[in-house]
Amino acid sequence: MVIPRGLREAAGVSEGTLMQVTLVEGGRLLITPQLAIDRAIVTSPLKNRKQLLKELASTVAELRREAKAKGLDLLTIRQIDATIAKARRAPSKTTRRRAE
Amino acid sequence: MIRAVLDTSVLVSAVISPHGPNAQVFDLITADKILPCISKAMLAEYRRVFSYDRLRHLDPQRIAKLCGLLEAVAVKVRPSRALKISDHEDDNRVYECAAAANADYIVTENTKHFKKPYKTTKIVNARQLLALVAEAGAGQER
Repeated sequence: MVIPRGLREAAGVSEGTLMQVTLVEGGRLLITPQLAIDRAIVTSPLKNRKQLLKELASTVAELRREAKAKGLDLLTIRQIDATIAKARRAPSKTTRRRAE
Repeated sequence: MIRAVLDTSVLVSAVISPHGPNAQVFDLITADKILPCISKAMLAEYRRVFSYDRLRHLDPQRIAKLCGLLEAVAVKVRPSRALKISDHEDDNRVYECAAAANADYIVTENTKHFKKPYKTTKIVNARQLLALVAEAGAGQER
């Protein structure tokens, strides 16, 4: 499915974003952007590798703190594998599409 | 620099906890000692898995930032050929990424899923990779 650039940009959805498609009342389809990649980071010409690595370390540190606060740091590899398996077996309503 | 493809479970484990070998491997990436390699399929799985089960409770903005930064610092490849090495079809995407990137290692917790090395790419777990990095570091100091 290709979403016209104008619509995509108006919705703030970057190219390659994972979309969830659900059926709503009246036989309409609702398309909801899922987790996206922060494309501005990827394309930013202002940051050098050292800065990007520093920011990556900082982001992971934040995620680790958040995971600990939510008890996710206790997940075992087996539980993580189960989640990965679930994501891989995802129902067809969630599909990866190119927005353009 | 060592080129490595991180299996999804290694990445997730490293992101949710600062402890253990998977986290240490990721910390070597941020220290620019290991060069991660990714493909579009790998990146899609990385970000997808964070929208399931308890992992979906992590801040989506932070996950988006993580994926964006990882993409920015990694060697990005477009595998040109499909491989059929693992019995687990999704794991073949990892092999394809490693092959296209000429990766030295696939780092995985599921060595049973990655039974065979492919060309110059070896299969290791995080603990083994850390030992190899330490050994290489010691060799350089001598």
